[in-house]
Amino acid sequence: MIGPVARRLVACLVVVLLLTAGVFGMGGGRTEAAAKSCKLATNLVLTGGWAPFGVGMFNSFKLAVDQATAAGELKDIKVDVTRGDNAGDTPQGVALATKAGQDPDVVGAFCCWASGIGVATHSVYNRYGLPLILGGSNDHRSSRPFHQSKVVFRNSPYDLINMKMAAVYAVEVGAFKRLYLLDDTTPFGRTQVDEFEKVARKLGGDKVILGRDSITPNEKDFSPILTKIKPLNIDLLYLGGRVVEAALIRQQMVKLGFTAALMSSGGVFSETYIKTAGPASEGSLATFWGLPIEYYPEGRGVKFDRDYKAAGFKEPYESFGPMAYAAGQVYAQAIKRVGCDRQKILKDLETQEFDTILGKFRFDENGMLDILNIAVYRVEQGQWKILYKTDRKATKFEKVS
Amino acid sequence: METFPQQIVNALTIGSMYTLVGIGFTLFFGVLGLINFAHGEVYMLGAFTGLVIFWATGSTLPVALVMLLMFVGAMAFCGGLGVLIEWLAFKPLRRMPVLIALITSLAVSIIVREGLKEFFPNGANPQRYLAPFGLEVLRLGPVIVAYESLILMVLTGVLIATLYLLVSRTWLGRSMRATAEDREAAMMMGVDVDRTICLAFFIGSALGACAGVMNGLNYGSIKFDMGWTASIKGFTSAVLGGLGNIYGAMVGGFVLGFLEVFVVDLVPKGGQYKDVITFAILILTLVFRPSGLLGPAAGRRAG
Repeated sequence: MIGPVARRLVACLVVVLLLTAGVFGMGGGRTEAAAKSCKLATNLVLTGGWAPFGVGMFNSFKLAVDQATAAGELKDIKVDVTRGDNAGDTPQGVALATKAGQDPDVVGAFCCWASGIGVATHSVYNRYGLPLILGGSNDHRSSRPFHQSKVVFRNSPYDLINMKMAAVYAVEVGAFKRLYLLDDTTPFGRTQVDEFEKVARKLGGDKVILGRDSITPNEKDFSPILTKIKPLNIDLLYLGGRVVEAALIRQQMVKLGFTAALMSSGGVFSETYIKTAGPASEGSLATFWGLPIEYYPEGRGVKFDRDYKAAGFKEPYESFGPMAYAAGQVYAQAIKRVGCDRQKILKDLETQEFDTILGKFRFDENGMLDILNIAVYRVEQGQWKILYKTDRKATKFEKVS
Repeated sequence: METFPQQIVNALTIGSMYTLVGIGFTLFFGVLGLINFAHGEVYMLGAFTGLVIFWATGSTLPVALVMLLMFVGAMAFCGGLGVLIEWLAFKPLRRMPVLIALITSLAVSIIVREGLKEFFPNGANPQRYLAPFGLEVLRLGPVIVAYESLILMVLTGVLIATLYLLVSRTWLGRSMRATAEDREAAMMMGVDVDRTICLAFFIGSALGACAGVMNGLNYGSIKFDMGWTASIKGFTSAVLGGLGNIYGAMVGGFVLGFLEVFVVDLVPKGGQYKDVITFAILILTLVFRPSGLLGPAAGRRAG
């Protein structure tokens, strides 16, 4: 006869066996489906000061992949976009890159926003043979050919190209003759101004640059340096820096009676600059590697704008959204062609043409896309208005009517 | 040379700003022997309180009244907040070495700063402030003076004078000085030490809030991390002038302001080396006068 204790033991054993079978059964099912599902790993700044840009990029990237799935383009392959937050912190970015590289289900990565993270992680992704599209990461040292990580691709031009065209605009197109340069001592700001200065001197001669100095980030009062510059009667102040300092400098320039314009680039090209600087922002210039939404070919930009709103994201896509969307489209098209395989996707990125919001493009031998949209904007009546944009290869500017 | 008159005006403005923050540090040190790095964040919160009041009243009330409400509201709110911070974070540590309280103040500073960044709407970005005079400025010959700078300079003078009178001529001031000299003796002489410390925190925090609002009005925008930079400059001013000495905070603030302005103006690439040179001079000064420029003789602290 089986006593009460023994009966309880048997009951427990049966339950455990059933659970185990269930787990294995599910596991088994998942293993079968694994070949038909994979992940794309993002590594973006989703919290902290730059979060608005990173979240817009994440949402746009995910939207492209989700749309491809919904349209049945990926057949029965399930693609999951993982949410990786590097908070703008390099060690966290490296940890996310390592995690993605080690996960066999991850077949593509979208990283980093911050240049420092791009520079730190490209070798990590390369070690795992994981294809990487860089979003943001303006510093050329994060990209080929400045390193040999063959897995790295870009969805926008890097600083050497951007700054070269900024100098071309300032010296040739805008015909400014008396320039002063300010950097904010950060690697980002410094590199920008270094590159700008090099090209400006080449195009206009040394006489075009009247001087260069630095400002300290987080300072509020720039009247000493502006007062020092004022007797030079400049017509353009070029700033390598961010919105906060640019807005303060612009207001103080106007109050001190400067007639010169203020010019900067991607770090300042934002609604926040106009909101913070207020009426003083009128006439400010900026270059940026992206076009107004209605300028993308065949109304694709307008459609993206509509689809993004319809998808119900709380946050706007910000200036980097369209490029992130293009990156999502690239991966979706690659997976559609070759399936869930890192090597094959890498080969696909190297050789194929992609049809995206930016237009049809290929990646060149250094992983750079061959549409280099660089535009010059000016603040007019409280909005950034496009003045000029480059041709596809960013060799010269064309006026935009 | 031609830039000197303008640079003097710039230095007076910058010096006034540093002084306003420095007097808070000097007050806390004078009364409690406490170096309170949370003061910078109270200054920041004062600015943000002013911003909220501006949002609430800016479109319905005249500008002068809005400004008054911003100052009064920020000072009242942050004064109360300062009392709360003292009760929560510093009172339990009164018998501990002051270094512990310093570290606590750093922790409070981080909590307040990051908290505001996370919970204030669009907290990570700069916020546009009330610009009472827009881009209008006063022109005195070749020199340009912003009206807000004038208000700042006058306000600084008034607050220094008021604080000095408070500390040297009132019962509260005597209580604060007694507490600073010897807490136990003060208690035995009938000073309500708890209440004195409370009031000192209220006044110090209210001063910080006033400085924060003034900063926003003068520069047209505020940001969640404005407190940290202000702390460094304000603390430096107080130390340079002599921690615990109210006039010292003023001397320190203006010396620091003038140093910075003229390093930028006279040194080639001065903007880049401004902080290095300024702080090198500070270190040298302290080597030869450790108690600061107006510091009391060794052994005495406040007044």
